[in-house]
Amino acid sequence: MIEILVLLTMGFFVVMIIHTNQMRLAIVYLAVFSLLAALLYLLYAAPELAIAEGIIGSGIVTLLYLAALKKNRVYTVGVVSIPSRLKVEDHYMYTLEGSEALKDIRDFFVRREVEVQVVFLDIPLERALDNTAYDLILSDDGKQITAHTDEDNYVMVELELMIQMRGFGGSIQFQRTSAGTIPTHGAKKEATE
Amino acid sequence: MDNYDSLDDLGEESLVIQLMIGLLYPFMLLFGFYIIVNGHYTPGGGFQGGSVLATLFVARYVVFPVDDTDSEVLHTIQKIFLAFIVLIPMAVLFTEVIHQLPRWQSAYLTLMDILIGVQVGFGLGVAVLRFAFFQGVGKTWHL
Amino acid sequence: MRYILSALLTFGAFILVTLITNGNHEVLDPQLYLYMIHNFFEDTDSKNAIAAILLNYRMYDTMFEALILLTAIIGMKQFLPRESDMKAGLEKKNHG
Repeated sequence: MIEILVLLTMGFFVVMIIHTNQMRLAIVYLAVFSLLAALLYLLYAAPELAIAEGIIGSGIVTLLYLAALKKNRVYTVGVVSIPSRLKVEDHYMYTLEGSEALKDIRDFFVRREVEVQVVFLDIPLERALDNTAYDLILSDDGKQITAHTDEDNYVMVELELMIQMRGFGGSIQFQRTSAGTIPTHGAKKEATE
Repeated sequence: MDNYDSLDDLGEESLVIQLMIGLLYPFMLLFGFYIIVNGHYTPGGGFQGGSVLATLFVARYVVFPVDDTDSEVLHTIQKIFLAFIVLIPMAVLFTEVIHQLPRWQSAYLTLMDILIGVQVGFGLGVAVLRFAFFQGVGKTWHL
Repeated sequence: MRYILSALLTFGAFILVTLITNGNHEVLDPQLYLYMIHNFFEDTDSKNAIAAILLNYRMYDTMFEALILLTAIIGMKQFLPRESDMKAGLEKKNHG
């Protein structure tokens, strides 16, 4: 009985591995799947296989995938609200998280199989533009969202094209800063390929 | 506000992981050798213990990603141990010398477990280090 | 829609395989394994039957498994070079 339960849980985790959008979550689900497989081997009275599966499946392979994911540079999107009266609070973050623009940007990166993280910043726009850690900075002044990108970053050119094709050209305005203002480590790696 | 600067190092190492791996490191080493040496007595053996030893290389990479381990030395040691893994059974087991000496049988098993454990551990360690420090993205390597 | 369909297909195949596995109660002719589990302690002085089989009865298996690992790592070293190896290879190509 418990074996069938473990098997069904493993099946659930397999589906989750395939259908999750974030690679980090997929790696964690894979580790859980391996651990459940080790438990199953233990229930089938094969402790040697359980040790091997537990160590290789959830130890080496998980750490190796995490190391590989560390090489896969993450695009960081910083979100700045221009009027300081718009404090970065929970309900503001939820509204922006649910907005079409941010959903489209996430969807764009997921389609290109690139990891993306969105950071909400509590700092003024100039300071965020000086920071080298962000590949794309969205500034929200209540009516319009402006995207500040590096003009050498061709991934962002594609993003702009996609947004114009989808008809959000009015709601998001693109602004290019000169090269070197936002050094994009994510794009540099792709440009060398 | 003082938390501006903490936003700058989004890609840095995590202190929690560093401390936990540093704490667990000797226990992982001990566990690996325990599994290897008790291979003929409890579940486990060369392959499993060697995998634990290879996990040490990955853990070290996660904490301290600097390529200062010479994987050529590890690979040479692995080749020498593979030679012993082939030679010792040919000398002892296939000639049935070991069945005349019942007192040495568990010593033979322990020796083979240690050889296989170190071979697998260093082999997987070389593989992991090679994979982790691979730099040539999209370039062709000319022989 | 395609995601849901593939998820349903995967889950259906999984349940089918589980049911088939649980309905199968075939028992093989146990001569060899009976010999091994009755005699491994006298033959090899090992208390763990798997160690006895891997290191005594089936030593060739273990030897070639180790050889397979070495071969895989030689291939890995060939196809995942380090930076220094790549520079050395480029210089060699330019000179030769």
